[in-house]
Amino acid sequence: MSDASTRQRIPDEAFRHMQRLFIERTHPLYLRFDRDMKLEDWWGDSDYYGFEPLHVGDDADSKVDFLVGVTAQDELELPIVQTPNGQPVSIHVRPEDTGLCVLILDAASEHERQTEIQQKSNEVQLLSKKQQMLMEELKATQIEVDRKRREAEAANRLKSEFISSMSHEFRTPLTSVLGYTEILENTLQNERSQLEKLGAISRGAKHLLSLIENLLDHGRLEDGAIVMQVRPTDLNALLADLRAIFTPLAEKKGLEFSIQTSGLPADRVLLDDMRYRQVLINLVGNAVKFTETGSVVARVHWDNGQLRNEVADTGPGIPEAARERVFLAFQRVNEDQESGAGLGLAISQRIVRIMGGQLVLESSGDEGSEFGFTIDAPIAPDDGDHDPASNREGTVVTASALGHTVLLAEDDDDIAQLVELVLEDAGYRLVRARNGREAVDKALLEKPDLMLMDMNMPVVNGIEAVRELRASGFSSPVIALTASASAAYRESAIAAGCSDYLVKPVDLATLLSTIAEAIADTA
Amino acid sequence: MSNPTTEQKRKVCLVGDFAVGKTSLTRRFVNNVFSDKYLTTVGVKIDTKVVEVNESQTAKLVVWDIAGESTVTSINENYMKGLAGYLLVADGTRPATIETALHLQQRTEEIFGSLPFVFLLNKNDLETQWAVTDAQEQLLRDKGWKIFLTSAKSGAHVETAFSWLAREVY
Repeated sequence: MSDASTRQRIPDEAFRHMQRLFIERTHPLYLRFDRDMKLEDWWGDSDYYGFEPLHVGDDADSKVDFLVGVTAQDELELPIVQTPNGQPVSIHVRPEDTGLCVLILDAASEHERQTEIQQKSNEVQLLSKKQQMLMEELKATQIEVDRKRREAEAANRLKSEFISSMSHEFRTPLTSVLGYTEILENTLQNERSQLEKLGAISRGAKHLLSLIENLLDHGRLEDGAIVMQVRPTDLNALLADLRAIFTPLAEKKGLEFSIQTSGLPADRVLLDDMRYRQVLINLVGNAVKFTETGSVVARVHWDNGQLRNEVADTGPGIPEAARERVFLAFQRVNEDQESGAGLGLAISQRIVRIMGGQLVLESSGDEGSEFGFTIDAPIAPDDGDHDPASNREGTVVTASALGHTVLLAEDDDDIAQLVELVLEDAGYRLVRARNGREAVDKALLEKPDLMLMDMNMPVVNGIEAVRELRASGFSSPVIALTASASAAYRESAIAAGCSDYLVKPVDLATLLSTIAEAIADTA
Repeated sequence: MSNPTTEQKRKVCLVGDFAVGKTSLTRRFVNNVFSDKYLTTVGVKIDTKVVEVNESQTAKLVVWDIAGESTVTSINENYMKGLAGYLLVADGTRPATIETALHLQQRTEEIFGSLPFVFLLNKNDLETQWAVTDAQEQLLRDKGWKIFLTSAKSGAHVETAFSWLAREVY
């Protein structure tokens, strides 16, 4: 349908109405230029669009910036252009026979609509790009964090290994120090001043040993190498031991010390007695150590398989600033604290965690501190397994030492001399081997009644030597002596054929009773 | 100094990807203002500024700030009709916008022939986010192009870049 036919079909009145509406809404400005781009005529409100006053004969590009560079032959559709006063317009440029026609229409609503859509679209794209960059940064940061974590873990592992190996190395010379001290104490019963000096050496060595034990424990706990050895335990007996250990120390300082119990079952309960005892000794030991006046109370309450423990003192309390780091390794509450590596609470915390509890500083202030924890301690079944090592002190030694030969395989001369002194004093005949190979040869030749075998020896190590002896039919008991206290090592020694296992430094009385018991068992 | 002659007008266009800072550069050049708020341009904004071409002559630059596109569309081709020169703008924190600028330069030359232009690596104030390496910048310079590291925010090298183009188009 042509424009003319459309026009004919619309009644005049309707057409005028449409014209009026179109003009009101689009503010048309019509410009006509001749072939030289001089303004010939115009119609519409040029002020509305902010143009300078127009005159016939004006150059197109002097008055209308958007016509700069346009010729009389150009046909252009410019959908949205902002005029000098910021009004968005659409511009329609069409060449005619006599020159160029330019129609300008208000495009504010179209501009607004498109701006809204475009703004959102562009912002989404920018955000998406930003997100992508942030993700890449995050990824790079994660890789860096992982790398640093691995480095830190490796450094920590090295530190633990170093601590473990050094502590391990310290055990052997300490065995000598403690052993000879004990012998000297026995031989100098009447020399009071000498005994006092020996007492000082002994206390120092024992303190050093406890520090080493703590360092070793810390290393093992860091490695996750400690597994709880749960066994039936008599809580009353264990707490009586604790009372016996700390009462003299507390009395010496003028402190009141008590262990208050409630609900303790008559039956034995299942827990790792050694580790439980270690935690209580740490807590009570600290309390006694840091309390100058007043009292230290340990409260132990058992209820339905749960063992609640609290240790309270009337000491100086822990400064608020130090409470958060009190459970961290190698942290001391006071820099001038006189002794200790700052490991006791860190180790206790880890042990309690492995036992399924949480060691908490319940309160601390001018009136003292209180630590508490709760662990599982169910009643042990009647036929619960019984570790002979845990009850060694009660063993009645019946075998006579006289006439029995003990082969000692030990590369350290000091230790060997110490054991020789003790065993020969007790009436045993001693044969010495300095390495695993010699131990095997002498054992097969001498057929001793018992072997004391150091596990860490040159040429052939203890485990291999025992394995070889057992394979050759050697049937006498072999007691392993080692500086390594790990359960895994113990298991491998037993699996190789050892009858028992003693960790250095060995208490001499325990050594004698273990030997006697083993020989009696074979009789 | 003699009186300047009546200002001659020259049309120059800013082209480049969206959000590279074309409108901000124009506002800095024409009105010496800057806003951090991002407002998209729809269609084209036209501004003018009188610049000194030499000691005796000034000229009026008609600056067409064209909506960002990654290619030359037929509509943009209409907007660019009659241009005497152009400013290619890229965002130094978004290396992809350099690729867009290279493409736009190629298309513009195909359509309008060889015209004076200047390459602006904008947002040079964002030092920590700057992603253009010295090697990439050198590659652009090796093309023999006039390159400016600009910041619409601080105004760095904006006036210089426009003035350089103004002299080239007169």
